[in-house]
Amino acid sequence: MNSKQINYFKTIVDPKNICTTKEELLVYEYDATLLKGAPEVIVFPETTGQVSLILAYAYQENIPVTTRGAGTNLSGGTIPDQGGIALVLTKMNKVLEIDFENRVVVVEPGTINQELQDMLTPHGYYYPPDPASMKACTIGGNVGECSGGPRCLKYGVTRDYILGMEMVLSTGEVVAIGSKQQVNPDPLDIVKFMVGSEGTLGVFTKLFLKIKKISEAKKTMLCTFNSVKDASRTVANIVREGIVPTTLELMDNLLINCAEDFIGLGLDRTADALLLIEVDGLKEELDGQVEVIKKVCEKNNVKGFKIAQSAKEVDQLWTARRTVIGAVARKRPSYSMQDVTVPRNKLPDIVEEIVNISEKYNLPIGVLAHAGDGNLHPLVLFDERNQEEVEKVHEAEFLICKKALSLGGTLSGEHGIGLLKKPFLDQEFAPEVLSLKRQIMLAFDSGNILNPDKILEVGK
Amino acid sequence: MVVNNIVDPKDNKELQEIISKAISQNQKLLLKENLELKAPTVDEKTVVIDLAHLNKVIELDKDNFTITVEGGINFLEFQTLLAEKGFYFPMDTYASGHTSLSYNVLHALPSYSLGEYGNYREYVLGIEAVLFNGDLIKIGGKNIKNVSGLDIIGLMIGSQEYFGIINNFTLRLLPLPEEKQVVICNFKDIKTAQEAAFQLTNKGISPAKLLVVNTSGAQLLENNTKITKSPLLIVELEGFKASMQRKISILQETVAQYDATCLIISDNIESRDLWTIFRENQYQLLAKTVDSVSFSGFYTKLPEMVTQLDNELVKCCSDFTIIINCLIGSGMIIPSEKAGTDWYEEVGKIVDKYQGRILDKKSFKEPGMGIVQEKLKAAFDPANISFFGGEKV
Repeated sequence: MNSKQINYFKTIVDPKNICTTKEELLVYEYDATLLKGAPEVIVFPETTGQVSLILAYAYQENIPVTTRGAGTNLSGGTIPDQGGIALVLTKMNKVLEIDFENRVVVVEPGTINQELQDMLTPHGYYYPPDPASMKACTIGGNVGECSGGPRCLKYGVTRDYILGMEMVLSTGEVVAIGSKQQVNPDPLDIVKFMVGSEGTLGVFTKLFLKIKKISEAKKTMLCTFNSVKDASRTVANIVREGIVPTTLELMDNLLINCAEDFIGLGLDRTADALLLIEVDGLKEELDGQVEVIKKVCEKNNVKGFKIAQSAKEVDQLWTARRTVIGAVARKRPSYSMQDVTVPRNKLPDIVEEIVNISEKYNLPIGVLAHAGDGNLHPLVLFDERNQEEVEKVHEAEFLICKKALSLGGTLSGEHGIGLLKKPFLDQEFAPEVLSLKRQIMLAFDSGNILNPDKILEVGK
Repeated sequence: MVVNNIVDPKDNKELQEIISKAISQNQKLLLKENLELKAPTVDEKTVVIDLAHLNKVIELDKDNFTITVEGGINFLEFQTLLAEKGFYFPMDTYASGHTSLSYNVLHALPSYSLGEYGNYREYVLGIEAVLFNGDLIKIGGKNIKNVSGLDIIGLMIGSQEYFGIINNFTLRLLPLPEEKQVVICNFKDIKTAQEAAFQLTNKGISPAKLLVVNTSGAQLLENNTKITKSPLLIVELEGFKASMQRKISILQETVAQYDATCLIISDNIESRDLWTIFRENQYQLLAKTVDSVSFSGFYTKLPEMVTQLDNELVKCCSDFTIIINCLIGSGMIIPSEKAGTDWYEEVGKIVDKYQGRILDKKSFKEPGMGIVQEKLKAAFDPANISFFGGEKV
């Protein structure tokens, strides 16, 4: 980009909302992966009109635009690897409307997930998608990635909670799709198609979200096992018994110990695996479900089965689960979090393979999983400064992806493809599917300026 | 209408050949179900696809709660088959007894249980489809979560045969609920029925179905002598036995405020028969008229909106059947044969007044998205063989 182009943006937004120094650009080279790529200018729009003008100019000048929120992306999707503009939406962070009676919320994309939850909870409502990064991540980012979280098993993913949106197309044209009502007026559901499009099809400027009432009661169980296989089998068996828990989370021994080192809850450090299971609903419904779950656990050699007795205890268990990703930093300086999904009954197979890969490459790999969904997040621990080790991490992760696909799984359950998984995409999809995806991307963005060549190479 | 060119592929290869031939011979294609439901004018060149032979269950995976099935299977037979095996696919539409799984999904036919159970996208995990560009594509599998690139499955659902035919599905199943009960309550007017329904959505009892029908709509249950002809609230409660009694009590307390009287149907066969009659009558009513209209509204505005629709349409035009799915704030108006043509405009005015929206039966109508949608169509159907696809882009 030249200085004329950069200066043009100063005519659109307040000059204080433009960053161009080397130090400032450095901060936006990253997301939550190890990848890097510096933008040439950072722009913080505050209105839809500004986003529209920025995109119209970028389209005219053929400047790449990488849209981002908090940068918690786990697939490299928010890395401005082709330079250009980092379009940061964190200043568009207002909750514009909360309508409890009609169960709809209108937010700007920079709204932080947790802050929205905090506004809803006192009124007995919540927004179900709850990614681990919810304290920092933005709703716009969640929509871009179709984020999930522990509650997905029963309540679905971000896609299921987006009713409509205001969006700016690559040409700068502003469109409103869907509505604030609970049903989409058009059977061809472009709204839902936008969810998970990773910033390649348009820039969201307003989002209409569906909210739910908090259930009357819940019960949280902590179950420990002497083998990950037993824990994985328990997961499949619980669902087979006709119970759909709100959450069914799995942690292996490495992560149990990391969590215990970090917050000291008294978790069983000797257990090979832990399941955190929660059921919710009307209070009469819960005891029966807990009883069935307990029996299933016992059949699968449960070591310890405990029901949280107080809200404080429940909070502590969830704190352990949510903080374990950060807690692994005590073990090694760097970690890389994978995201693959397999059919639920294939969990034991993929876990076994992860253990083999860990041994083969002499890399500690912790297994964290939204096990009810078959969605695993293997955490590979290493030292980023050791290039040889970094290479081993890449190889190990490739093998994990390959194994997931061979088990009928998919490359990503909730983190997206971005840059990280792009090289593997042709292992999951046939050439005609990739070609179709490419044509769809060009239908939305003929200049290929929006997050260009993320997910797959598009060209012009 | 005489239609000569009906083809019934025996397998996916044959379906692909039919579509390839249509591309090369510039023929339009549509699914057979449309002949009854949409009554399109087809010429002798148009190819009508009957998927009835593609009706095999390929795999019922009890561990993963998934089924892989061919798309030609009759929707109601499919659900009956699942129920016999203890599984549940919660979509239930007026056309269930007459249409294939493919037709239901491609047209995203509105399920009575939309709301509590979400929409088709939450259950379609994998597809095999023949696109109108001739490609046979396979996407997804048995994975509950999948964000590997763009959501083509989501785009195909509700695409109304613009893009291609889905001929194979892998679907997420649910466990069959322990218990089901249907409660039918008579109200003195449609406004109070609608208000009671709105209250129920806030009581935490999560009905599987929550419908309000006007007095004409009550005739959809014509064979049931126990039901008085008046505006009705039809509630299906399901879930665990342990909480059923309380759910019923909450429902009864709520409707009692409106002096409504309720009939509780606990017998599974009786409730199944009731839905069969309701569905069948709605389908026949729809098949008689191609001019029904669907709309959506805010929960809070529906009582007034629906009351006005019920009153004004009769004054202006004729008798109308109104069916509201209160879980999603969406309704359908089906005119009688005497209705004429003025009613559509009247509906539009009333729906607008309450900030509701008419749900367009045709696709590709999102404002401002015209060019994008045309390009999408060109990617999927470059030869423009979709019967509903309009002019070539």
